[in-house]
Amino acid sequence: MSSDLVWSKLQELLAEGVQSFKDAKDEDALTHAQKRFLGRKGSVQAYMQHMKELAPEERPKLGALVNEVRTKLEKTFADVEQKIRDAKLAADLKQRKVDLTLPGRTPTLGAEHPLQKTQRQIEDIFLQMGFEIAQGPQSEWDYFNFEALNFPADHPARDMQDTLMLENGSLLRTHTSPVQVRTMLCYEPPIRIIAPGTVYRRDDDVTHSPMFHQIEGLHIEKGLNLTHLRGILELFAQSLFGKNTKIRLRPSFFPFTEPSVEVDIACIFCGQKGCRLCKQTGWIEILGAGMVDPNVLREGHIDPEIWSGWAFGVGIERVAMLLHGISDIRLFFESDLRFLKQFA
Amino acid sequence: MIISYKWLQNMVDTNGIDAATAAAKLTARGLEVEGFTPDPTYIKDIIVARLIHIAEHPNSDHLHLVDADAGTGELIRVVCGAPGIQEGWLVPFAPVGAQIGDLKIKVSKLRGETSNGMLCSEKELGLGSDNATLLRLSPEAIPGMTLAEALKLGVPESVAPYATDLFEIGLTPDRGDCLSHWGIARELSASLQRAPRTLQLHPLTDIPAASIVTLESPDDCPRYLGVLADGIKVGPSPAWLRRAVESCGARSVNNVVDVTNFVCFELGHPMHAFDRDKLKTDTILVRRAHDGESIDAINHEKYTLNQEDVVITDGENPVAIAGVMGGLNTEVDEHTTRVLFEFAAFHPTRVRKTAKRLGLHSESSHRYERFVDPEGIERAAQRTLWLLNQTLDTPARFAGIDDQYPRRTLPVQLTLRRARVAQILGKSFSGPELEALLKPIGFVSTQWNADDIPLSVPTWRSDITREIDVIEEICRGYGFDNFPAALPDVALKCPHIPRDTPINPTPYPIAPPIWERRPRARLHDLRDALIHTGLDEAMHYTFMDPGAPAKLNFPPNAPESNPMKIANPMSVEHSTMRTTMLPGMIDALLKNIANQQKSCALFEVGEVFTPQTIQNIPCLTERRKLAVLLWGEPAKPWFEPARAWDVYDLKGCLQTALYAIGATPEFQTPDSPVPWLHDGIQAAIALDGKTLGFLGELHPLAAANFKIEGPVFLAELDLDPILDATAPITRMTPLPRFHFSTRDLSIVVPVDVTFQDIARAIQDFRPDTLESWSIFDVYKGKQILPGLQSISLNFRYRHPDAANPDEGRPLSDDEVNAAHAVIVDALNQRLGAYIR
Repeated sequence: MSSDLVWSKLQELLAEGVQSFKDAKDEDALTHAQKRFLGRKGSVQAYMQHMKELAPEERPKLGALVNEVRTKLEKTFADVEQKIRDAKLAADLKQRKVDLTLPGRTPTLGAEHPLQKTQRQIEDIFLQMGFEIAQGPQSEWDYFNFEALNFPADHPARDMQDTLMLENGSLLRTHTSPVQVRTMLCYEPPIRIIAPGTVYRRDDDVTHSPMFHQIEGLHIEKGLNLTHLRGILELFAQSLFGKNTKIRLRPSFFPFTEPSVEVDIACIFCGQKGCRLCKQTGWIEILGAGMVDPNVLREGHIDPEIWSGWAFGVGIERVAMLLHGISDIRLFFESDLRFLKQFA
Repeated sequence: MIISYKWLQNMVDTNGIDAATAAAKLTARGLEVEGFTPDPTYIKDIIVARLIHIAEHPNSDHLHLVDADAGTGELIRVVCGAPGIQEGWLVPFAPVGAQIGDLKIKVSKLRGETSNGMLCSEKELGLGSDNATLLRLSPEAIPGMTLAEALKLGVPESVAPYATDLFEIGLTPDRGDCLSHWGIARELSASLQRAPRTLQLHPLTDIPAASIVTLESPDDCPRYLGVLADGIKVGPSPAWLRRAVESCGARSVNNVVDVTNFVCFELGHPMHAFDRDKLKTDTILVRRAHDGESIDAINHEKYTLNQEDVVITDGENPVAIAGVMGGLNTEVDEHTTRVLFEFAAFHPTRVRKTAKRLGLHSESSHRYERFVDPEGIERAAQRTLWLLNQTLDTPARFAGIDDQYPRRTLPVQLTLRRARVAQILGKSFSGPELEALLKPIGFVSTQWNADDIPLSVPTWRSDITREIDVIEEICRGYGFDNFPAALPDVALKCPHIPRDTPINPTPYPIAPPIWERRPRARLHDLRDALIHTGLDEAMHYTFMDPGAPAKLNFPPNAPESNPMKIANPMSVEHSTMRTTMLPGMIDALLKNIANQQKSCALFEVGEVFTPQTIQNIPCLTERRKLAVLLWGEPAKPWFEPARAWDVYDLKGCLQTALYAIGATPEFQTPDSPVPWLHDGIQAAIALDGKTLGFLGELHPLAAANFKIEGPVFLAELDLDPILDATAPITRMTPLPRFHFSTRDLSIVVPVDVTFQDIARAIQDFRPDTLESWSIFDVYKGKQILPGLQSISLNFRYRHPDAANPDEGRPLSDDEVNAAHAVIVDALNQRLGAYIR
């Protein structure tokens, strides 16, 4: 057989192979065609058997020709194979679909109680400022709750806090301020504490609960004055309500601070334009504070000429009601899941 | 306390200051104006009209046809039904289109005659109660001007200068000096820097001295000034007086009583008027009441008194409870002609105790409890007598006066150190600055420019006894908002060094209050973990219904059944302090069941209270606890079948949360079952051998007591030991370099063999090649004999030195089989287990 003849036969084979590969519609057909043309016993390989029939000088030529055809066929095969794979992937990407808007496979998350959440937020602000947490008992003695806090016996100031009495002669603390006294009696100044806790008053309506929660703050150092009270409370208000929150101090009266102030924040709901929540005043009362009364420092065995301090008390319910728009204080303690789950 | 702005204007020049500005100024001084009634908006459309011509209505015997001049340039025809009207009157007129409250004025026809508006009475405008005829305005009013302007001109005979611009002031209990218009006016005048006006007074000097009053104790009654007044005609008060006392919330009685109330509201001095002819003698004795003595008070109630009370007597019988209320039998009435006026000061504590015990609170007791200045009594008397004569056609004859004032109240003297002012306020004030702030509110000094300023405190300021109190006055005057804000220059951490010698002025033990940061952080981590297991957080009242423990199946002698009682509870449900959190949890469940909830998964962290005697003192011990409740069937997730909560969910929640904070408590079968849980479905939770609490299914009897359907899973445990424990720090184990082999094992054991039994048996015989094991099935049912259960376990074996490349190696099958056989034997010998 002449090399020309082989060459023309190979050209035919090449054309036939290319066509077969191109006709293959799937991987099976393609594999079948590959075996037929490019396999060990395939058509291309078969030509190598003609090698010995050729003159020795023709042989390399045939080899080159066969290789050329093989290469071309392999290239076509690879192209077709890629095309089929692409088509298959495209089909898979198109067909296989999952609804990922369905909920994930997880236990339903519970809800943190809004009071706990608020308390923790407030605590964290003061912990970051180097305050420590102090605790005192809820059943308290008159001395700590009133007497040491400069409440004169039989003074109308005691009517501000209608008291629940216990049968053992103690009382349910009406504020967290007794922790101030306990702390002063136990530690040398300086003192920098907050005291969160449950307190009680004989009161029950939409905005008053017989049991509620406060956070007390007490800061005693050398050289503390009214400007520091303002500075720290401003920082607190801005941490809790937003960095541009303004505060206002108004004179007030608490037996254990002198001077005493009520602290208002600029209404965060209306930007001080006047709304229902600030009663059109542009200001919302959030806490009471003041410079620690010298009588209280003396009761805590701290010399008021050397040390000075400031204190505050904030109602956690009040802040939570404000932040979350809660209208009835009793909702906090009724465990109505329709209420609690809103805070998840 | 109600303050009329119009009344204040009699005492302070408020030119250019409207009511809202004045209110803001008072609030800034600590006299918080909580409520403020501005000029009623419903009179905004009302203008002044003059009645020009009045004619009878042709079709009515009581209506008139009125032509009125409302400043429009032409007369307006109005039909009017008010009796007694006269031409020339200036009256309020609501033109067509005006709005009075909900009423819109329209052109209307009344019995055939057209009416173009409405002429109004005081009542129709909401200004007062008088509806007899039209409201007559000041002769200075001009037709066409607004009613609001016309009212400012004053109204001599009638209406309401006092009914508008009322301030509701929330007064702090230290400010007895501000329980009056004068007190508020003093503050306002200081704020405006305008001197207060003087009031008209009747001099006392020309009244003949008489012997009327005897004081038993100047402590109880520091001063008593009595005045005898004869020739008084008692009758209805003139309109200005009636309006004034009514605007402050008092009922108008007659001219004499109203004058005493007027002065009480004006100057803050309560006083009393006795009908002199009803007194047994002409003398007054102020003394302590006798035990059992009684008095009929003017409120028609009878009060029984004791030695703690001070009474005014007519020499024989009590005629008034001192500072609280007068007696019915000596009341001034329309027949009274001779009056004995009492102007007195009583001790605050005396009045407070009596008022409190009798439950009798009056304008008088309210003021006496908060201090009434004995020094001001003379002026109160002078004002009263002057006002009294204004209500009488013929002036009264003041027949005698007796002023018993054995110990004069002297002004408190103190020193204000300017350095101390700067120390407390962070700002220095000069002498003249301090004088400008303090002088207008009554402080007197001869040396305002000294470093240490000697000060005389006004006698009406019982709240100011110390230098620090004056410093507060400086703040109020200067304005708190005028102080800058600053952050203190302090150490990052406050050391809180415990005192060397503990100080405790009480017999009660004091625990050091500071709570370390770590247990607090652990508490919050625990709460977070519980929330992540799907539990909602609850907070309940710490009160308890005393019947609740019995309903929970606690026996009467259990500590839970013996809570501390509240001496003055608000309700039975809130009458004791909770000994357990369980009633609160059950209560929450019941409410949620009533709200159609199908599942309830709650936890609460809080305190319980146990009565305990410490150092012979009956104390109440507080312990922090965790309670968890599961009930019902959570909403079915889309990916798995519906399932009700069971007791393993409860245990799982607790395990997850406790493990999350590094606590690994043991769950053990309790030695003796607790009464509130099902005998067979409960476990004790223990840490370091100490029982912290229990978990299980609510006892069926308790569930029945609360009428709950379906099992309730409950846990309650002490938290502090868990929070206080230190979580071990995890040390890394070297990673194995050789593979493990596993073996599964299904054994059949009697149903009363517990997982804990199996675990102990494996532990006791544990081969060193057993790396870990787990349980993956428990089966009780048809394919197994009754009384038996099948338990499937998985074991993982690995060479004990697998982490060591030199010593370790993979285990051969024979080695694994041998080790596994040890376990199988152990289970067989210990528990009678056979392989299934």
